[in-house]
Amino acid sequence: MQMKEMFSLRGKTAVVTGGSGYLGSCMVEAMLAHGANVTVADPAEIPERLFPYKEKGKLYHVRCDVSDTESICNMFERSADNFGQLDILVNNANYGAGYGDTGIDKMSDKVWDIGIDGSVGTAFRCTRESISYLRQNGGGSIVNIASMYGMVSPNPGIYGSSEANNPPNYGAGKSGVIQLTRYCAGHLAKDNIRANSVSPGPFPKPSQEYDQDFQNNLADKTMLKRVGEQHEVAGTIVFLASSASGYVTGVNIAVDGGWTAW
Amino acid sequence: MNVLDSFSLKGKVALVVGGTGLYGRQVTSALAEAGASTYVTTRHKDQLQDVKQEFKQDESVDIHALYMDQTKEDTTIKVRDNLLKEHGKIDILVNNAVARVMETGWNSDTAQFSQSMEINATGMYSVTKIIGNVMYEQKSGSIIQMGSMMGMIGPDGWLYDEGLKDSPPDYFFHKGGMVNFTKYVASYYGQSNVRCNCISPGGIESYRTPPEFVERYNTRTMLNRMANDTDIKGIIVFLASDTSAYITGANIPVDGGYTAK
Repeated sequence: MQMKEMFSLRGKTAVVTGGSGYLGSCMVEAMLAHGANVTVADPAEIPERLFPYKEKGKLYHVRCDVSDTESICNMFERSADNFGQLDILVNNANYGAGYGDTGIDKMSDKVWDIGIDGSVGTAFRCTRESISYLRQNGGGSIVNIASMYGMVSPNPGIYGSSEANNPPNYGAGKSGVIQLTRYCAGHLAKDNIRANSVSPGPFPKPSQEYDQDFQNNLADKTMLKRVGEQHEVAGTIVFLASSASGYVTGVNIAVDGGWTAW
Repeated sequence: MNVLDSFSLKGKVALVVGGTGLYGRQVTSALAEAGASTYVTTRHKDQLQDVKQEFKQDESVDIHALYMDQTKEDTTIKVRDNLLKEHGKIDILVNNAVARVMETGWNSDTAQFSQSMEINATGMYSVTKIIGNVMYEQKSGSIIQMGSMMGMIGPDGWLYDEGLKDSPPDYFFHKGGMVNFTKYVASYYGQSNVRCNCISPGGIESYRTPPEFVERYNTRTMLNRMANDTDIKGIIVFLASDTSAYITGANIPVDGGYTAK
């Protein structure tokens, strides 16, 4: 097979949850550029730069709430009606982390549950509902977005006085995503479905306007001495979605500038 | 950068150390097919002509074969200088050379262990330093270590007719070392935009793999098969290209799920 074809997604259809978001929209864009049809499952509007793909019928936007099974089922159904098949699922959406009292000594049961569901329950439910579609198509590839905080703990020192600390349920759920990925890889291989996770490192959104000290702290914690740029997770998604990774399953790829390697 | 071209290696210069084995051939052709000017080395002087001949057959790619022995620093320096003279830079290094020294397993002569380290550990360090320092100066580069699943887990005697009798302890030691050596190199060169990652492939099936072994091995993977002669190509191009610009210090298994269960 020629190298170009190896990374091609032509003739494939993907669902990307949270595909309107900061990192998600770049995943969508990269997959479209590699030839895929993409359903964006997101309650928010897609960014303007993706409008042309929507007009050409390559992108289909379904307003989907990943906290709600009915909404997920409806989204997969509409996606299949629209594109006729499903080959790739990118579980990128999460919700619920960072609300209420987030300290480990004060977090309520309710807030804990919401964050866990928001980070790993979403991936579980979307995976469950996708399986019959992937099977119909003879297999496929599931890519779960985990986090460096599913691999290591946030270092409280980094957050200083910014009060932007990362809550305990987020990482607990994300480490669950990494394990759920291995479980799916083991149990869905017979259906020719591969499952892998990607753990992004520091990708602060410019719109959040974090203070410079905090941004410097993030950059210093990486081996490359910089934070990630918006488009820098997308290539890994294309690799894992395409036949270029045909023998890769059950792995977790950190895209974190070396954050978790020291 | 155009997303469509993001996996392209056009204009890049790649050096594959030990590119003539089962995995080395895939590594070399993957880099060349993705557009890199690719240099492959062998320490077998007498085989150099054959290697040149073999890779010459495909005229659409740019592959050159050079003599290099990673235990002899002067040969590495000569290769470095040749590439710099020709291209002025080295963008990609793949450490793929390996000598399988302890073929009689655990109870081999102890001297064989140090002989193995001389080639597989010391030699590999020497190459990484010499080529890595070039990348450090030019403030860019991607170093790929060819590890092995055997650097992540212990041997499983059930797979082999003779159990663990011939299982090579040196191989497990230096492949395991490679995973953390990768992190050292990633850290050392990171501030200069030089990345280092490790790939840990599973077993590859060839014409000489006994069918009974393949059958047993398959059951240990999730995908129920051994690696084939193209399975490593995608990850090589991915890690060599700018698409993976924010990935460093990582170890990525390409093993059909062997180490995930």
